[in-house]
Amino acid sequence: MAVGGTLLKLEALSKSFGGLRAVNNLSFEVKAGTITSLIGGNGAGKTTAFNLITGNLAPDAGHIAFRDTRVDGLPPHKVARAGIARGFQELRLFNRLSARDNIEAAIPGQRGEGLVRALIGGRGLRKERDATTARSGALLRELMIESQGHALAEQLSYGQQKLLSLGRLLATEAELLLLDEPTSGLSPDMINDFCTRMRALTKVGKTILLIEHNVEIVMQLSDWVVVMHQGTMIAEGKPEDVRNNVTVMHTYLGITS
Amino acid sequence: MSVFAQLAVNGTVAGSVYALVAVGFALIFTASRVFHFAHGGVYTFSAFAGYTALVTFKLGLVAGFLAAILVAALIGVLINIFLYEPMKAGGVSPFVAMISSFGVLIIITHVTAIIWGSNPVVLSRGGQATIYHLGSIYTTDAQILIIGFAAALAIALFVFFRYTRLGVAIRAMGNDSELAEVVGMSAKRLRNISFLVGSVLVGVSAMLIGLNVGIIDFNMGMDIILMATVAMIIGGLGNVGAAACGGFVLGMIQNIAIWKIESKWQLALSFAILIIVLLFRPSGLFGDKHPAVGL
Amino acid sequence: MEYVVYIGTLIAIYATLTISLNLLVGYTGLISIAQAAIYGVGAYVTALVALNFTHDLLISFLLASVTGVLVSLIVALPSLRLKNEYFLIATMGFQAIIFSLFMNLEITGGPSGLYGIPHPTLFGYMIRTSLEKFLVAVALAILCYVLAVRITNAPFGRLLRAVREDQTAVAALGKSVFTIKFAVFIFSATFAAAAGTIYVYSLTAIDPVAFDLDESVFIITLVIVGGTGSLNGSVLAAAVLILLPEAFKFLAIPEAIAPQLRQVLYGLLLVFFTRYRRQGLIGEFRDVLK
Repeated sequence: MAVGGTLLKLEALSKSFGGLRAVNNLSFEVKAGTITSLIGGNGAGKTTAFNLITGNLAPDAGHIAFRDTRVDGLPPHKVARAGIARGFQELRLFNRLSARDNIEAAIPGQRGEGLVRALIGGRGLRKERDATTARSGALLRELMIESQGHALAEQLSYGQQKLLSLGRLLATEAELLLLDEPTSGLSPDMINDFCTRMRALTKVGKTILLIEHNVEIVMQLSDWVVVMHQGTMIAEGKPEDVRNNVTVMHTYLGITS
Repeated sequence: MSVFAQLAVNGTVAGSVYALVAVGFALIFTASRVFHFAHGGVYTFSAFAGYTALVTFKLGLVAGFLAAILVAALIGVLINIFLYEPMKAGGVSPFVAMISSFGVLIIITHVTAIIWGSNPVVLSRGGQATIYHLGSIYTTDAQILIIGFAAALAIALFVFFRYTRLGVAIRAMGNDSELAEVVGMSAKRLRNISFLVGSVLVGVSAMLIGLNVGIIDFNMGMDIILMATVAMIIGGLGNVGAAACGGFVLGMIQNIAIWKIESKWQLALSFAILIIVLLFRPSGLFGDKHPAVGL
Repeated sequence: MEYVVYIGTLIAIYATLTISLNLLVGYTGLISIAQAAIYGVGAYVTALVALNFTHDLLISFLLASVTGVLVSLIVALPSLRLKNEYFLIATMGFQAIIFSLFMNLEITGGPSGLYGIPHPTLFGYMIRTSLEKFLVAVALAILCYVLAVRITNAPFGRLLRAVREDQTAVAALGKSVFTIKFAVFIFSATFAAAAGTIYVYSLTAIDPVAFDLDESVFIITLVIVGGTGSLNGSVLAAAVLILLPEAFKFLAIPEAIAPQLRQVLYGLLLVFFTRYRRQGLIGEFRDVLK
């Protein structure tokens, strides 16, 4: 999609658990080629919103459109295939698989992943394997964890695991990346590296929506900020504007400095 | 009509039997989150221990029960101490513990067969069973005892879980084992106590049931623990009372069903009900919400 | 000699069964104790077909496998959305129901089973001797092994392991977990049922007791002892666990308790390996895709 067009649109989204309204009439848009931050206190409904977008939860009401097509109600793997890749706060790496395997498992379109093709084998599969290996090698290099390619995901340091998690998302070639607290637990150097990468990704056509608590990163990195509180959007705009927004200051008082 | 009434009585007896075994099983599950299939082995072995005291050494009924209780308690707690606790400490999932429990069940079952032979033996204190009848409905003293014990147990458990500190702590453990620490007792100790109580219960049940049926064999535990599993799931997990209800319902269904289908299909019917409950109402008929479904 | 061939056939059958279950349990993390039921379905279908229509080996394999797969899918479809322990219990329920059918239906011969099953024919040639049947058993085991190695080395195998690690993440990457599980069930059931075919033609009779819950637990024991995720381990475990009790014969164990002792041994192995050596006989699951 061309930069500036609406890539993702949430309309009047609602979701309740028992008596609790986790997401309440939530609406906002994400423009293509931008970095949008979703902020709000604990329990504001940010992760629930992510789960609704990715299809892990079905909304009680409202729509979600991706590239002008409805995606609410689709199962997670179809949402992913449509072009939305989602990272988890807990990472959810394939722990006992190697770093390289983690990435290769994410590469789409592998015929060798089907039972029949795997049974038949043959030259086609070998070619596919070479292409897969090349792609995973390139990603590992890009993320500077190439030396850890053979190590099990669980043996990597936390910072490397976060990079691997990002690598998996990139391997899917999805256009929209949903990142859940991608900088938590990272050192300042790693955070800088992360920001640089994010910027670089938008230059090659990716769109990023991230849940982030670190206000500095939000200010520094985002093109757009969406503020959630008690399940709904209470303010949105450019970072500077949101920062000065009185409503935000009221609800955020005591939550951030 | 009297056929139905007799079946209902039989159902009550069978239901009580399942409830008795399911209660111990559920208590242990609530406290340790493990499907302690080896419980069936404890059941079998304690019945034979009781047999040894009662029939082989002719030490009397009380000795029989005592033997069953002591042996059951000992084996049950030892299994927890030497198998489940180390696994839990090692971070092994309760699921692997479940599989190892199967292994223990097999070991105990067949060791029983080695010691006492693979043929069924008679468990009785001699003499005729006293038969009571109301109109054309028959029942024996052993059966009344079973129903009575089950009823008394139900009341005792209700009081225990609601009003005693220990009971509340165990219930809390079912939801969050850290919560129990708050109440002031170590989770491990609570688990051991649960195994103790659950095993004692199963020892008593084994004797009662064995005396009722009149014969015991080395497979009895394997058969009954499967039914206890069905009972627990039908009733609902995370709740001992629900398991008891589940047992009761299962016993009733099995016996009423004889009215319409041949008894050889009883087991298949029971498992069919298990599967239907798992699929459509995984939290069981009476239990608290428990996430059996989903990722 | 007869005896050696008999043991060899058993090892081949169990190697096949173990590999088929290992893909389900070890690679994908779907712990099923219904495998004996599928094995039994394959056996009964072969027997009934052989007694009534044809005893052609290939047709028997085909019909047995297809039926086995169908039954396996009936088990899988509803059970797949259940978590770990509950999935296992659901498979336990199916195992019990199917076993009940073996024991109680008229056409399966009830508790006495079926007997007098004719020898299989292959392209007109009748496979009559136990040695020849042994060779067929070995051929099946080899086929199963080779295909299992092939698919586990392919991206399919990696996906299986990914599903075992974290299904949610697999879905989040755009791959259908359902399709993957479906596929592995099909492969697993095909070979479990085919093993049933071999069983029937080798013994020319069926005793339903051979397909009860104990048998399912035995097959899972084999998977665990061999090492979940190790195909070589599966073959080794089958050999070891079949041969070990035979050693009892040399220890002058009385006939009466030998079968009981064998079960105790299996139980001990299951407990030992789940408690102390979850990586099985051969060792930690290795990343086969280098």
